[in-house]
Formats: sequence, structure tokens, C-alpha cells
Amino acid sequence: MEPTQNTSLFQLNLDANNAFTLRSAASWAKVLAILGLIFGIILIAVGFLVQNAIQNNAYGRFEDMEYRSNANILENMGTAGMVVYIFFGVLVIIGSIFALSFGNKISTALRTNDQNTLRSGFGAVRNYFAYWSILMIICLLLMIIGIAAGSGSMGM
Amino acid sequence: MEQQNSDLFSDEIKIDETGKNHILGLASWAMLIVIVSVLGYVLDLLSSITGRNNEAVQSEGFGVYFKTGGNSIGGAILSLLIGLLINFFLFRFARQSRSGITALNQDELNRSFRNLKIYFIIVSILMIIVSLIVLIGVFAIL
Repeated sequence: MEPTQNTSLFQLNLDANNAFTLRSAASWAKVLAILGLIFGIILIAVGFLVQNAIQNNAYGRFEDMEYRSNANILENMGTAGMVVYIFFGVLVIIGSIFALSFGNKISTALRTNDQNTLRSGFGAVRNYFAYWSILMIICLLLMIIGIAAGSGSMGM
Repeated sequence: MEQQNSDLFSDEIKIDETGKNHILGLASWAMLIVIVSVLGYVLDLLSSITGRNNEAVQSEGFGVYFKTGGNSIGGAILSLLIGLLINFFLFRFARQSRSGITALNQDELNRSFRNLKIYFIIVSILMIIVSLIVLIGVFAIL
């Protein structure tokens, strides 16, 4: 007769199958975190590169004193672009740190059978999702404001 | 019938009350992400269809056309499809983990973790593609 497995009556366990799935989720979270860190660094580098390129071009293109104000506008645009790139780079890096924390803690917890680390691993992935939720809500609000402003200006 | 009780004296790691609370909180945040994302995709698609943001504005003095926000309908549909694919797994994770925890259903919890894994795999692959596109763009500028 087939053996039946009564996993638990009053609490949940991480059985071998469950632990394997959770471990591979944690490994992929680590991959995502490392990619996110690289992507964030690339964004910050692109911000500096673009600002540098615009600054170099601006005064080369508008050498005449008459057009110096155009060069200043371009330079300001470059600086604003750099700030935006750095801002988004930092946001991606912070999110990746949460994902990395989840990956590391869950892997360690499953390797050492440590209850506390497992708990803080679940806490880390909760923080990861909370962080992105809040950012996405802010983006959605900005989008709605943009659409409302756009339709307002169209109505004028 | 042989019966194996893996609850009391097994060396399997257990999910205690704090862990359960963390998973429930995680499921709530994941569900919030799904709702906000779907709303965002719908708004993006609507604004692309109405085409209100898709105007070309000529900036004085530069003679260059800047596109103000807005993207094509094709881009909006593509982002909607990719977004729905990602959020489908996140939605299943949120729903199954919540029901697994509240009903103490081990199988449901297993399935929810599988969906979380698929979510991380898809997001990682997308991140690789986006990073490569950005890198190619950077090298093209340089």
C-alpha cells in the first residue's frame, strides 16, 4: 500500500520539494539582484556620460557669444538628465539590495535550517515587493496627473 | 497503511507565525503590484489610443523635434502583453500563498513558491535584455 504523508495538522513545513523550489526562487532573486545592481550602475554611468557629452558639444556648437544662452540651456538639460539617470539608478540599486537580501537569507536558512534567517528572508522579499509597490503607485499617480494635465491643456 | 508524520520531530524547517505573517504581508504587497501594474498598462494603452501625448513639439532655436511623452500603440500593446505575463505569475503567487497560509495547505504553498520562482526568472531575463539594449545604446553613443 502506498505510504501517505501527513505533512502537518497545525503548521506548515518546508518539505524537500518546497525547499528546492524556494531555493531556486532565491537563486533567481540573487541573479535579478546582481543584474539590477549592474543596471543601476550602468544608468548612473550613462547619466554622467550623457551630461559630459552634452557639455562638450554645447560650447563647441555655440561658440558665438550671441548663442551662448542656447549652450547654457543645453548644459542645464544635460545636468537635469544626469540627475534623472542617477535618481533612477539609485532606485534600481536599492530594490536590488532587497532582492539580494532575500536570496542570501533564504539560501542560508535552507542550508542551515535556521528559523530566524528564514523569517528575515521572507521579511526581505516582503520589503522588496513593498518598495516596488510604493514606487509603482507614485508612478501611476504621476501618470494620471500627466494625462489630466495633457487633457486640460488640450481643452484650452 | 504506513503513515509518516513530518510535523513534530522531523528536521524540516517550519514556517512559524512570524513567517506566516511575513508571507501574508508579502502576498498583499504582490497583489497591490499586480493591481497598480494593470491599471498603469490600461492607462498607457488608453493614452496611446487617444494619442493626446503623442505630439511633436518644435523647440525654438534648435530646429529639433522633441516628442513629448507618449508612445506608439504597438509599444503599449507589447508592454501590456509582457506586463500581463509577469503579473499573471505574481497574481497566482499572491493568491495561492494567501490561501496556502490561511488554509494550512502545503501543496498550495508549494505551488505559490513555484510561481514566485517563475516570476523572478521572467523578470531576470527581461532585465538581461534591457541591460543589453542599454549597453548597445551606450556603445553606439561612444
